[in-house]
Amino acid sequence: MSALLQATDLRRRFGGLMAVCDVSIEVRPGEIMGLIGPNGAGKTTFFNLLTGMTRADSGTVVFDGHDVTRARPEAIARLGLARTFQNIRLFGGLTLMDNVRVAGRVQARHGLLSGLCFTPGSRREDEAVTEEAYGLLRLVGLEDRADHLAASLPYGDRRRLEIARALALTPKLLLLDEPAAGLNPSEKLGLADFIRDIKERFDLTVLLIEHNVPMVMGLCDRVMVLNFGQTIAVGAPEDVQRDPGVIEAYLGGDAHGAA
Amino acid sequence: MSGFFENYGFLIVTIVQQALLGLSIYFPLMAGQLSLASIGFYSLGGYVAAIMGTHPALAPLREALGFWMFPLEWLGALVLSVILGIAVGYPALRLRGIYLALATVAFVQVVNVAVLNMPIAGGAVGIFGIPQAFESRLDYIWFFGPLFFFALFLVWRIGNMGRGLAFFAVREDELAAGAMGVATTGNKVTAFVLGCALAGVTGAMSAPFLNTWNARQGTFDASVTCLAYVLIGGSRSIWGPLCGAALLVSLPELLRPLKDSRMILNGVVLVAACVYLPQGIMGGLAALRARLSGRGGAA
Repeated sequence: MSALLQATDLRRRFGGLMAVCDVSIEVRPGEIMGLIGPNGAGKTTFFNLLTGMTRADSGTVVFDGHDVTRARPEAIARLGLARTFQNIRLFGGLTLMDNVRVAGRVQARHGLLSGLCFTPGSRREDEAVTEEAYGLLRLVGLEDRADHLAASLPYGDRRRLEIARALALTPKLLLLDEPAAGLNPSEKLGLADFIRDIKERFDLTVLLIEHNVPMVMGLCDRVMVLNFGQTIAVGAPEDVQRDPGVIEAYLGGDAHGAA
Repeated sequence: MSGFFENYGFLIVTIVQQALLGLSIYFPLMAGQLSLASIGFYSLGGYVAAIMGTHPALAPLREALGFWMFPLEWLGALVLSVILGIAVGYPALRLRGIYLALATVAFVQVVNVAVLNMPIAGGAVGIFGIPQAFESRLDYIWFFGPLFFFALFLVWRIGNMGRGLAFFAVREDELAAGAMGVATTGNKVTAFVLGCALAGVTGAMSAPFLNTWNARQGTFDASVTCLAYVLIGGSRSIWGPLCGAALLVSLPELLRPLKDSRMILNGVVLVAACVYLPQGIMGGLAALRARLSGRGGAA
């Protein structure tokens, strides 16, 4: 029972499309694992299955010793599984600070009632959460814009804010869905270092979807490749890179290769 | 001055009363849920108070409690609204946007038909001669005023404390809120039930204020009017519902000299407000302030 996240034979069908077909994964504590595959391979659906946003037709997900196959997204998040989204989903109408504070407040013991009564406990807790959120904004270099609305941020900064927001959950496992998408080459280089840095600092395990092959190869300890909803290879980056099945999937061994 | 209050006391209290209904729509809106159910709870709350105030079986209780019968009526309306709000909220809040609005409109219709067919509610005639709490209409401000400030305090406090962020997170992006560990269903139901409870208690205070209570209190028209308070006043400001209610309640009175054509002008004002102040009156003021201070676009 050494895996932090263990998914077994996950399957999900959308109408006639088998999006994810009997995919299993084992993420070990402390590693950075990459999930790659051509467009439409089922990577994001697989993330949605792991985080409870899409129900699996069959299969099981065990996270940190809890069976979370049928759990609600918020319950899974509270167990320490945080994620970012491919098409960045920030709380646009809230300030950067509030975006990060939402996640911090979730673990708070003091609820609506004690907040309404101004109990000292709930105020201290609010202050602690704000302090922590400020620290996370400083980590991603956005602290000087803490009171701006998230919707006003440029694209690259939104990615960083989304990661800061995920870190506010104090996760054990961080799922990053294409964190480098839309970043320029120098930002991409910085991102790999940043991911390594937060992994050490917060004692994280990371599972990331990425299209940028050089980044995946340099960053990940292990890589899993999906194509048409099925696992075609798992292993060290250099082994996966030489796998004939992977080369075929990426370069097109048949007419449907690019689909 | 006393003449002014004698003439307009009813109007002033009505503005506060209607602003309370506007606020009851504002609560679910904080969590991004457009609900028109408030009027149904308002109607039910009024019936609770009307029945408790007039039913012969409760005469000894009224005798014993005297004025304290009124708070007991509020409590009855509150309990009923919370229970019914939770029962309606859980299934209804699975719907989003316009579908939730439609479901809540349906709820208002169901309440209306139900009370029309309940003998205890007096059928189409309704309930007459509800005992009065005060001599003067204006004195009812002692009912509605404190409730209004309490509701404003709730809205302000929820918006300013950490826990309130969960509402806004659900409003901004429900899926992302779930991914951040926010209990989306629980927060939506909480916001909805707060609105239901406020509408129910407002109804219970309104029954003695209006002296009679019947099914016309809970019509679809009234639902839309309440929504108009929030939209015209401004849906992102806590003062919006008061502002909208003040305008919409007093406008027909101010235009009274125009006789029959006043409703036309009333409509023109509403359309103009929608076209020129899409963020409502408070939103328009905020934009104006931003422009005057030269920052622009900060609203």
